[in-house]
Amino acid sequence: MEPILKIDSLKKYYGKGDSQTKAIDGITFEVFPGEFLGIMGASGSGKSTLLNCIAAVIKPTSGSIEMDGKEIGKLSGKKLAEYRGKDMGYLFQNFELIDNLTGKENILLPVSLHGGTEKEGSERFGKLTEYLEIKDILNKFPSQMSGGEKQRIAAARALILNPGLILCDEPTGALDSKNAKALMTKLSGLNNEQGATILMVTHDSNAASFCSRIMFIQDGKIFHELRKEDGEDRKDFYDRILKVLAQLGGGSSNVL
Amino acid sequence: MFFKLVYRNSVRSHKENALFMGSLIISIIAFYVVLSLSNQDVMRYLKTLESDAIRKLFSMITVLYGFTLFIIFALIYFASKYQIERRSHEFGVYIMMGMKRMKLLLMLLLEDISSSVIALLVGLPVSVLITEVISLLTVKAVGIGFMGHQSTWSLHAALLTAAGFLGVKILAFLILSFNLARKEVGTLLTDAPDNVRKKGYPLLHAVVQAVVLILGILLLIYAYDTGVSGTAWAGTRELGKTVVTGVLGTLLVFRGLRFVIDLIVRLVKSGKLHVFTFRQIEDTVIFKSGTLAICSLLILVASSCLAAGVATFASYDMYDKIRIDYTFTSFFKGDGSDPHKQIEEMGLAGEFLYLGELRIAHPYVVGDENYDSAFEADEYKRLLDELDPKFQYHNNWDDLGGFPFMICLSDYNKLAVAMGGEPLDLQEGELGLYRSESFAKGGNIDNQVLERRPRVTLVGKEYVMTGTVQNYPIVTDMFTTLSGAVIVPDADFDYFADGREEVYVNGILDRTKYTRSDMVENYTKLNKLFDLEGLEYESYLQNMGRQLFYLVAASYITIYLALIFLVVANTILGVQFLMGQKRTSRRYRTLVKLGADHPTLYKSSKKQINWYFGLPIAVAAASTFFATKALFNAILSSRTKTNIDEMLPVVLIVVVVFILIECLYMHIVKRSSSRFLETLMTPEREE
Repeated sequence: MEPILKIDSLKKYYGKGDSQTKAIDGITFEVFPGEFLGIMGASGSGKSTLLNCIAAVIKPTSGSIEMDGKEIGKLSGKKLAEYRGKDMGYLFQNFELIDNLTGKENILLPVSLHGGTEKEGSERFGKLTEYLEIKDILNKFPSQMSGGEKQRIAAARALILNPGLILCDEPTGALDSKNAKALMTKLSGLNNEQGATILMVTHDSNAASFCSRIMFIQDGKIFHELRKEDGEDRKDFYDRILKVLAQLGGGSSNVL
Repeated sequence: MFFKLVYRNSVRSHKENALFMGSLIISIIAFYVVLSLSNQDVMRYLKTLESDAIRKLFSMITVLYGFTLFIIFALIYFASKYQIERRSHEFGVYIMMGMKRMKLLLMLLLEDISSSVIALLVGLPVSVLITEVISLLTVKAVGIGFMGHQSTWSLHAALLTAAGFLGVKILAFLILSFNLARKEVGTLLTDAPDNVRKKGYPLLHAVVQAVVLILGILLLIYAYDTGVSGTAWAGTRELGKTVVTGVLGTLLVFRGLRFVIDLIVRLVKSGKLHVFTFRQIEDTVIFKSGTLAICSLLILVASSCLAAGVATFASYDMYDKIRIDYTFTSFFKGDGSDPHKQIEEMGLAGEFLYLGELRIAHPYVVGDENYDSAFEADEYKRLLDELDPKFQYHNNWDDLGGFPFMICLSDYNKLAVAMGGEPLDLQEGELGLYRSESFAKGGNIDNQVLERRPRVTLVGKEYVMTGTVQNYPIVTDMFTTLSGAVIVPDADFDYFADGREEVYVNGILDRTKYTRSDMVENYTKLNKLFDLEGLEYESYLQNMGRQLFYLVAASYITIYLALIFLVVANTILGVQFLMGQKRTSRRYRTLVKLGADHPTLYKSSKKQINWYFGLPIAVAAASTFFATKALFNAILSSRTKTNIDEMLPVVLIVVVVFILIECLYMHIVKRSSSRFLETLMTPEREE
């Protein structure tokens, strides 16, 4: 199977000389269709920089990012905007809903941005809103919604154009545990049932336990990788994640 | 270091904000133009003719100056407010870095002073230039070139301009900095929209808004109707009613506009960012409908003032109009003086195309006791009552009274022919009706009555009144004309006048002897000669001076106010839009994250600006159409009114100037908006 996302010796350095910071220092990995990949790491480990590179928000210093065979470093102007909006769906920590648009209008925003009429999106719109249980709040404005509702609207928006890859940046960061769990259940459902490919950056081990594979990043490098084994219970996977995190953050061998 | 920061900041803000700097310079021009009014050539000239009226006008300048101060304060306040809000994040960072608020305010004050000084350095020369141009243009238009041009520069005006401008600016600064000092750092650091929608748009709301919209439109129609039909001018109460319904109608229309915008959001489904664009427009209609309505009204006032001012000025052409240029003062027949002869002896008769007598008298023959009933016109009055039951037009019939003025028919006819008119044809036993131009508004009614040939009696003799209402001026001074008189055939006139008639000698100058530009000079030359000869006369020059004075004063002030109102309305609109965009920058950032590029955002922003300016302008344009019609009805004399078609090019020019000004403003706002949107795109790309 061909990988949907191919990242090769990616580097992102800030500054020069002594004051240089290596936010990403040679990361290589692949994401396959239907995968649910989690990226974990402490603050400053480089995971947000990695996500920003993939989303083409920042330019890497060197290395390549290939999405569906397209080298995204070479995209510019209209194609770049299209890549951001169409090939990839983005789920933000703080939802990024537009406050003067209704739920429905927010969801359909990518459709109007990247061409196409409401009709074209309507079938997918119907399915998504049903699956995410947001049919009742479609005509509400964001200020009338709970955090969980907002994030599910945001999720529908990220998925409306059926992107090849969904990038999630701490999607549960602004949610309480109940809403966080509900959202993760939905996301993993999308992954399992519809084969959506998801790449999620998170701090939250609970959220990470929904993934099928987790990469741990430290000081800009891949430090460890965990794979959920066939038939493995989420609880067991969660325990394994905690162990790695303990090693990553506070394991005795790591004491400076 | 601190001063370096101040310097850099002010240099940056001048570059970044054309709107702000433009507003400052316009304020300075506005002050200077008012204050240097007395130095304009035309005003200097009028001082020699109409010193009293000019003195009155100049005392009014203080009021105008005060009013300008007030309006300019609003302008500067809004422009500065945007300037400060735009930089609020920057101020938040200064405070977070440990800058004391006092020092921050000091920094702003120094920046403010530097921008004021620059604005004055640019604005004053520009204002001097503009006033010079205005002065030269009016001199040319009025035809007093022989006066010689004098510079309009006045140190006094310049100093007062600087004082007014700085005063207004400091006041605005104090209010704004007081508000800034009270704000929390957190508020400064984040941009949040003023108002967030907390409710959806239920059907009930839509119905209410549709009703409000319709009510607003109905009120406007009422206002338009009363304005155009003329009932609005019948009295202060009627005028008040029209103004109140107009203002209320405009406010309601903007309140109810949400209904229309929501329909557009729902019904039109195509176009990139269509929904977003119209939701943004809807936001302004919901939260800023009052501002939009007020700006629309300001634009209406501006355009009406402009149209009225320009039309008043354009209706003035003293050269082409045939008129009585001289009236040599009345004498009673037989008292020995004969101006006609004197002029001939002076060898000046050749200057005149027409020089003729006009005899006027009361029916003195009835004697002192019977003068109350010398003229009985009951049938005429009865017919008037029938044709004009509301008594709108014929309330000045009483001026004719029982002891009316009589005009000698043959004299009047000669004058009428000389002025390019038709003679009045009266047979034995017939009388004509004379009404001066300003009293001739009910002419139609009078003509209808005359068609029915009402019977009247004059000194016991029966007559029928006939012909059409006559209204050629019978002397040169338009302000002392008869309001009404009867025109009587010569033989009867001589009998009734009983040898006690007053005789006026009227002269119409030969236009081929002088050109348009030395018309005034020609008067001045002839006046001197007549003065030497000891002739008593009234020349059109005094008359013209008076007319010219009203004309120049009226057009000057109305055009001036028009431009000020226009600038204020546009600045408020522009600033409000840009501030709103800044406050809702988060929405644009989200769009960028969703893959919107700059052209897409800019397109949406341009559309928003078009609507934001377009809505108030459209409503104002509709109102202006009716308002100018109403104004023309009220201002222009009955003779100019008949060639209202000739006003069309004038109105067209006004419209074009207007559109140009609006386009300029929209262009500036669009550019500022584009630059602002760029700042939302760039940092994230580079990080």
